[in-house]
Amino acid sequence: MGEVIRVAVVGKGGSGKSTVAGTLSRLVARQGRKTLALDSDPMPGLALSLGLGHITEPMLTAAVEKDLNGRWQLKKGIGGARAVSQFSIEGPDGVRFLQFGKADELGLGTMFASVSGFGQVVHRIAEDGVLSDWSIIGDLSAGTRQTAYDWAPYADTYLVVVEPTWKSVLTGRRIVRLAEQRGAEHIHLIANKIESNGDLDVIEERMDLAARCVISRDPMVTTADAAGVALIDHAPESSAVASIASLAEGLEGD
Amino acid sequence: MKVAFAGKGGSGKTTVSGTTARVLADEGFDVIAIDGDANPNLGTTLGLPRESFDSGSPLTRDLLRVNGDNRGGSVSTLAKPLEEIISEHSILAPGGITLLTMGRAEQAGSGCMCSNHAAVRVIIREIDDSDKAVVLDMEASPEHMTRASTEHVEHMLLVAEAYFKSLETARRYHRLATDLGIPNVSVVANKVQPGDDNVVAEYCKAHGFDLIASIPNEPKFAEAERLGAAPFDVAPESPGVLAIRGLVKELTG
Ligand SMILES: Nc1ncnc2c1ncn2[C@@H]1O[C@H](COP(=O)(O)OP(=O)(O)OP(=O)(O)O)[C@@H](O)[C@H]1O
Ligand SMILES: Nc1ncnc2c1ncn2[C@@H]1O[C@H](COP(=O)(O)OP(=O)(O)OP(=O)(O)O)[C@@H](O)[C@H]1O
Ligand SMILES: [Mg+2]
Ligand SMILES: [Mg+2]
Repeated sequence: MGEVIRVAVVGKGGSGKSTVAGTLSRLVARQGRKTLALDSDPMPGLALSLGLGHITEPMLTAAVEKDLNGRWQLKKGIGGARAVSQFSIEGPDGVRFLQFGKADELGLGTMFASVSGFGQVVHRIAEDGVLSDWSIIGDLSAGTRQTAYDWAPYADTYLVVVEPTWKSVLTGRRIVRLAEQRGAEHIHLIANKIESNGDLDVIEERMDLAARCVISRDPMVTTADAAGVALIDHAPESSAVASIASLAEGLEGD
Repeated sequence: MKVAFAGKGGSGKTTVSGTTARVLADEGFDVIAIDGDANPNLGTTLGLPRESFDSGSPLTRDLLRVNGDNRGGSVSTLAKPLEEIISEHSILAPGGITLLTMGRAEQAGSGCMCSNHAAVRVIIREIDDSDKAVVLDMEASPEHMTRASTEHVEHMLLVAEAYFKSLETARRYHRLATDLGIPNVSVVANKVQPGDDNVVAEYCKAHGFDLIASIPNEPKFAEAERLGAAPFDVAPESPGVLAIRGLVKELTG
């Protein structure tokens, strides 16, 4: 088995980031890798696509404390590896899962504590030697913001999910530019919700990239979401899962 | 009138808010549209050519003057007359709409867009809406509520599709908007397919939410998107645009 996989899944709102990140995490774990799935979105997403259902408790709030300036900091002794082993939860296929604090009824205080903890953890796990035998798949929030502000410093590969619409391509192009500035080693185009060759041509031409993975518009993705379950459990034989499986195999060789 | 649109990524916030702005302009309102997405793209939905809508200059902290108040806090006021800020930072969009752009993530550089949010908050507060309509399109992130840029909005519209992630996201925004003190919060069901209608209506009923409009899944919107054009120009008589006219009617009462 090749080296570890370190990816950030990015793209416009609703392009299919969580679907790709959740399914990919499951498939990478099935390759026998230690897999950490990170949800950076302040609204619910990856837990559902991963098959963990709806997770409401904020994570990492017990990992942080306020410093003298009133800022939330990871407690002494809690580094990247410790935070992951102690505060992540186990999902299907043994995937470990950690999420950004969600805006919820507990109020903003809890959210800020959890968000600060998460922000520090993503930087700690990017340090040399931390979780070095783990594959990490991050699901970033919609748009350019988190790529611009370095929310996935652990990633050497950006998977840019683009659907065949002008706004999705525009966002994809902005993200490619930002990922290049970050020094990403690999930037792969994932063409999603494709209905025709024409759709794919438009995306590849406007992105000026060849698609690394092409996922057809697949009604199984919609029905999985309607049922609130993971695509890979709902429709393991679907074309969308097959496409993401070939992506997973290819990443292994990178 | 001052309205803002929030909701899950890709639920249709930009499509619905941009078309709402066009309909309001068509009905004679003087409309100020604010693109509050750090990845701005409201311009195409308003009908600007693809290349030009990036060009509004960002709304930043230097537009504000921050003074201490007598309780140890601070108050922000505009550093220049509102009209001047608007004329310097806006671009003119079809329908005579004034388009302001909050700014792009990569322009801010400081690791957050806090100052852009502060500027948007004060600008919205200062606009006299007795003769104007303000329409704010937000990005798929609660930042606008946690950073209070929507504090002076009168009506928050939560765009939701008929599936769990989308409805759950709307529920969380509802809580944030209510906590911020926004007086009216309603749900707009979008991309509604036959049979879906009840899903959103029942969710709203179960949570005591106001469902203000239902917009059908509109193939003409997808077509406009592919062309990079405004739904309002591509298909002004489509059921989708007509449903947004219905939404505007509810809003303007
Ligand atoms: N290949 C596909 N075929 C059909 N529908 C799809 C496909 N991929 C994603 N979708 C649908 O698109 C919507 C958005 O998907 P998803 O939640 O994965 O996107 P996202 O990019 O994570 O969104 P957000 O920006 O809100 O985080 C869902 O309704 C999903 O069912
Ligand atoms: N009523 C509708 N019928 C069919 N398609 C729609 C409808 N509303 C929006 N869409 C399509 O859904 C996609 C997402 O729309 P839009 O960009 O407006 O969403 P958004 O919520 O602003 O996304 P983001 O979270 O990225 O800001 C676009 O391709 C748009 O054309
Ligand atoms: Mg998502
Ligand atoms: Mg939008």
